[in-house]
Amino acid sequence: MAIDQNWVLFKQGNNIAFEKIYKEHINELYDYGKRFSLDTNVVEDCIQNLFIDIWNNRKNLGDVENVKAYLFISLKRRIVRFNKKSLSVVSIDESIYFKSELSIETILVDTEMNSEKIKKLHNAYQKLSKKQQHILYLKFFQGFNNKEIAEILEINYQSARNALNRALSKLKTYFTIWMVLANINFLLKFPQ
Amino acid sequence: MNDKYLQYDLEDFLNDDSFIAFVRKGDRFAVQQWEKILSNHPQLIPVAEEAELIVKSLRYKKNYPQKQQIEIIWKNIQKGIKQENKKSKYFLKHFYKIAIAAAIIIAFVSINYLFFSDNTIKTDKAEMTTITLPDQSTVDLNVDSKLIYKKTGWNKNRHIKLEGEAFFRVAKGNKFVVETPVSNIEVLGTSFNVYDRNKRLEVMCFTGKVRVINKITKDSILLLPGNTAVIDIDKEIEVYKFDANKKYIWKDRVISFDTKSLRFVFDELERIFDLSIVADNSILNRKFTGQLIINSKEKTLEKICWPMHLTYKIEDKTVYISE
Repeated sequence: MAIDQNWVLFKQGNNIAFEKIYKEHINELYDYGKRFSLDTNVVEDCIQNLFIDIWNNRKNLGDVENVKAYLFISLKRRIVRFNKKSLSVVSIDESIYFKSELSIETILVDTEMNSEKIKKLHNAYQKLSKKQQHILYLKFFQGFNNKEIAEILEINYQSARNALNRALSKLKTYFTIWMVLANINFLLKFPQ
Repeated sequence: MNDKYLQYDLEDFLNDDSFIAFVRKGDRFAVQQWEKILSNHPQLIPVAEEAELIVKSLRYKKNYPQKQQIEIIWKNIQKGIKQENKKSKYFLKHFYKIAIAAAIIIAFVSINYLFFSDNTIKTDKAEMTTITLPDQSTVDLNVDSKLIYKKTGWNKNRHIKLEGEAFFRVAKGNKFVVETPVSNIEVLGTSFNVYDRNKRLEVMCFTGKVRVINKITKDSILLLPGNTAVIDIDKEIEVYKFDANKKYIWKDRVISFDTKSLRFVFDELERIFDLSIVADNSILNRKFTGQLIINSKEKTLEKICWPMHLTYKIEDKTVYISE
């Protein structure tokens, strides 16, 4: 994978490239931050400090292959560190701070599942561990691959893959039941 | 390339990033690629459709910032960067002035060392609190407990007196000592729980290393993570193991008992809920093993009484337990 051009320029002190990096990732970074802290001020502060710090340390940074994953790890660490200071919970697994839920409206629009089934899926999703929710979010919302997910969660590749598959098989029952019971209009239109 | 798709199951589809891109229709190359694969392997279509449904169902609401927020955050970043530049230039320019000012302040602070002041923090029954020490170490103080320490000179002399129970998260620094009626506990930077009531001490080490010293016998032991030291007065130190990753303790609103007398259990509940529990000796001597999630006193009492065929009656601040 090619090194990000903007990253190279930013490391040399190019502020325009730096702003491009910011504009390119701010939406998704902010979304990720909000999953760890409902306090907008905390998320904004952490993002600001993250960018200030990488600018100040730009000469010491390596050539990053995936800038988005790098920013995600940094942001996650900062918000988790902040959470640990203000809450009295010792957590070895930082996913404990991750909050997410599926968007019922979007699923309604995009699939032909009825709202009752979607609610059941929503509840099943809530029963997954925070780590599993975290992984599903990174894969299906943020578009990271398994290797990047392992990096962001700071676990090894096999653990990430196993956790992902366990989560998916837990949710799978809901789809199997639905597909068997319903008269399915095939979603993939293919000449057979 | 074609062969691997013959073996594809649901898991393979969901782990295949180009398949996901195909479903999302974001990547034209992926769309072309998969249309070809599926027309070559029509037997895969049912599994592919199941996978497609799952991908389409894992949707989240977007939590993106507003345009103004994006601008404001960027402005603050720019401000922060310029300040750093100013700060370092300022420091170099005024180095000697700053050094002299610092020397004067240190002299002033040393004089203040002579004036000690004790900080005492006490919790009542049914009350918990968290304290942040001057070195950013934190202490979660459980119900009915007391903490005493000196604020001035803290970083040099980290000495704290504890009666009752507290969970410590110690920042790295000089030796940190917790003194309880029974013991002295020394750590450098670590997290651990200390319970010292009724002449029984239990220290649980979660991270780092903890040295527990029996004040009376002078026995000592160095605890590693996942180990609990128990000192019953007049007895030798015993060490038990626990899973530091999974263990829930009082500050997680969970308490566990391993063959403890109901007398001991009710003692703890009296402290947590600020109640008075009354029961026959025959009941108090019974042994209880279990984990209790502390929410309401009714639910907690229920969780103990029901499996032991007991009933409870709450009258104001007193609970009567009977068969």
